[in-house]
Formats: sequence, structure tokens, C-alpha cells
Amino acid sequence: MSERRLLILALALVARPLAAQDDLTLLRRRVANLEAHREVLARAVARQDSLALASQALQMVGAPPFQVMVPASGAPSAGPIINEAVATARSHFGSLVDKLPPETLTVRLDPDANRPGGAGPFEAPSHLISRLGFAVGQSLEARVGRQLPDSFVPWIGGRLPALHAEGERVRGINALLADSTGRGVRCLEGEIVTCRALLAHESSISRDLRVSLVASVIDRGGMESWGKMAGGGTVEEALVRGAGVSMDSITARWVESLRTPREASAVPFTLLLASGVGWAVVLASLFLWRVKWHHA
Amino acid sequence: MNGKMFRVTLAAQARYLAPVLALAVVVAALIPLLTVQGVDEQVRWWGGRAELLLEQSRLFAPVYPAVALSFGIFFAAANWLPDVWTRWVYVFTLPVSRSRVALLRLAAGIVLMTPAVLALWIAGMVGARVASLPSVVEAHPGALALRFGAATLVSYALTSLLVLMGRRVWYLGLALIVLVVVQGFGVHFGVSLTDILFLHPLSPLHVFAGQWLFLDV
Repeated sequence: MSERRLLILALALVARPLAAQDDLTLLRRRVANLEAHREVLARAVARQDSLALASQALQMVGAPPFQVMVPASGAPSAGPIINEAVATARSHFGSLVDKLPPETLTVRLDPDANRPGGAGPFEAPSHLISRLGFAVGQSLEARVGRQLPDSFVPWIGGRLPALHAEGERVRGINALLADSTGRGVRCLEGEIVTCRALLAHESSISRDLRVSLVASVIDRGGMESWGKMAGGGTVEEALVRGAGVSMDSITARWVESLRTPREASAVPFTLLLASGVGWAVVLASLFLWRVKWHHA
Repeated sequence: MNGKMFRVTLAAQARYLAPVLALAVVVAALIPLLTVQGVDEQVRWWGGRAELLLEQSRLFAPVYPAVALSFGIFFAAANWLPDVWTRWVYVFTLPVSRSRVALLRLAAGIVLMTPAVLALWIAGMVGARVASLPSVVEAHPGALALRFGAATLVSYALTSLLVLMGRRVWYLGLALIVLVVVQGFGVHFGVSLTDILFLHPLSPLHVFAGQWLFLDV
């Protein structure tokens, strides 16, 4: 082979990777185009689904006293979600949920509920279903709120206490300790008059204190306290009805609950410790047994 | 157990494990101090001293079991791996039975863990004192140190056993760890390995589970 041919061959070998780079760039561009096209298609499909869903007749799901109207195609998936939300509400608010007047909630397609990247007013069916559980929970909570005295829900800042009483307790302690006037600490030390004043006075911490107080009433009296608090009157009257004791006693119990450290985990500390040491002994014995029979 | 033999073993092990021991003491003392460190500065900006302290305590809670696990592994590995690499030749040459040497060294390892546990307890006490905790917020340095000691013991004994079991069991243990990690990324195998390993009351690793709060209300 002549030198000239060898040179051309060497140049071709050098140039090949460069050509491959061009091919790669072209391929990447095509992939990007395809992905953009797929996104457009996905949006069109979602919009089509959404329109089809919007034109569907609504179907009733759930059982009295709480039923929900949802688009027919979402009904099979909606049933278990609604049942779960109602069961959660029952475990939170007790039999009050079943005593509420019958009501039908309508959850329609919400074109503004899900706008990916600000594009197109449509909602995917899957989004409607995932929104349903939240909407039902909120509606049930609002219904319970309507059974309480009119001033009750605004008094606790518009939301009912969370299921987890410990969280409200910690929030209450934090609110009292954050009070820069020193009255919070005096309240924690058991000065009931100061506590009552802090609860009555509108301030940045009062909402957390009030929610914590209501949570302690429910924690002590059980979920049926919601039913007892339902009805008219003032907030204080409702709390007294719910707890079955005077407002001073309610406040004293609340302060006591704030001051009482939380219960240990499900397994007592000593048992946990004993189990750890016990397992260490068992494992060490196994080790020694193994050493005896171990042949390197 | 012969007291003199134990003292000699303890001294030899202490010399050999000195770097691990020093590291363990420093790390154990640092955790509770770091929990309360810088709170005064943050209070100036954010307020809510109790909330900040509890938040810091929650933030550092997973560090305690992780450090206890590491200490146990470090101590056991430093104690036994040289013998594994030298195929137990040194142990064979000693004029005492292998199980007795093993018992002496196992016990020496446990004694050598004590400074780390004590460091955690003392640093916890000091940290709680200097942090001037608000009323209701309570420090639990004693309970935490005891639990830390128990968890380190379990980790030490388990690793010691694993060291003897050979490579196949090591790979099995490694595979189990990988499976737990994979499950942590959302891959389901039908049963929750983390629940079985850590939350079952009869599991040896149950001592690592739960909240390790230095400060609580």
C-alpha cells in the first residue's frame, strides 16, 4: 500500500469519531423533538379525557348521611376513597358524624385545579380522584364545625385540632414559652388566672393555645366530646359541656397535660434496654460457642 | 476469669484500640453539645427557644443510633479482624484455650466502650446545664447514654459474631443491607424489611428503633 493511501486511511480513522459526534448531536436533537412532541400529545390526551369527563353525568357515591356526586367514570375509584375519609372522620369526631343532617357533596371537574406549566384549562381524571379524599375530609370537618357554636371555629383560628394530640400539646408549650411578657411561663407554672387571660386575649399565640386546650378536652373525654360540644351557646359553655367540668378545671387539666411528659413509646424503656442487653449476651454467647468450634 | 490476665488483655487492647477509643469519646461527647450549640444565636433571629431546642433535638436524634451502630462495628472489627487476617495464628500460640482468649477480649472490648458512653452522658449533662433549658423542656442524658450503651453492645456482639461467620455470611448481611436500602427507595417486596428488622419487639435491632431525643417535653 502506497504512503498516500496509508495517509488517507489514517485521516479517515481520525475523522470517523468526528463524524460520530455529528451523528450523536443529530440524534439528541431528534430525541428532544420527540420528547416535546410526546408532551404535547400527553396534554392533548389529558384535555380530551378532561372534556370527556366534564360531559359525563354525575353519579352518587357513598351512603347517607354523607354522599358525593362525582363524574361517572371516577365513581368506581371514588367509593373506597370516600369510605376511608368517612371512617377517618368517625374515628376523629365519633358518632357526631352520623348524627349530622344528610348532605350530598358535588365534586366536579375543576379546570383550574391542575395546570401543568400553566398550559390549558383541564384536569386529569387521576388528579380529580386524588383531590377527592381531601375535598371529602374538608367537607366533613366543615360539617362538624357547623354543629358547634357559631363562635367556636373562629375562636380556634378556623381549623379543628389535629388527630395527633401530642403535636397540639407541643405547639401549646411552644406558644406559652414564646410569650415574651412572662405570662406564658406563669401559666405553665400553674397560674390558672393567667392562663384564662392568655386564652381570652387575642394575640399571636392565642390560636395555638386554644387549639391545644380543645385538643386536651378531646384527648381526655374521647371523641364523643365533639358530640357533647355540639349545639348553641358560647365557646366556654361548649367546652364545659364537652369536658363535664368547670372552665377553671378544664384549664387546670390542660396545664397539667402540658406539664406531663409524653408517654414512652409502645415498648417501655426498661424493656427496650433489657432486650438490647439480652440480645448482646445471646450474640456474645453465640460468638463464644462459635470460637470454640471454629477452625481457621 | 483470671484478673491479671484480664488486666493484661485490657491494657493490650486499649493500646491497640486507642485511636478508635479516642474517636469514639470525642464523637459521643460532641453530639449532645452540638444539639444545644448555636441556639442562643438562632433565638435572636427566630425566637421560640423551646421550639428551636426541640427542633435541634429532633434533628440530631437519628445520629445517636447511627453512631452506636458504627462504634460497635468499629470496636468489633478492630478487636477481631487482625486475627481473621492472620488466620488466628497468634491465638493458637497462646497457652490458654481459644474460647477463654475470646471471652477475655470480648469483655475487654465491652469495658473499653464505657468511656464513650460516659462521655455521652457527661457531655449531655453539661450541655443541658449550659443551655439553660426553659421549664417543661427536659434533658434525658442518662436514659440516652444507657440506650446508647445497649445499642453499642448489640452492634459489637453482632459484628463479633459476623466476623467469625466467614465471607458467605458477610455477603448475606451485605445483601440484606442492600435490600433495605432498595426498599427505602420505594421498591416493594411484599414485606417491609425495615419493620421486621427494627420495629419487631423481638428483633435484636429493635434497640436502635424509636425516637432518640436528648431534649423532650
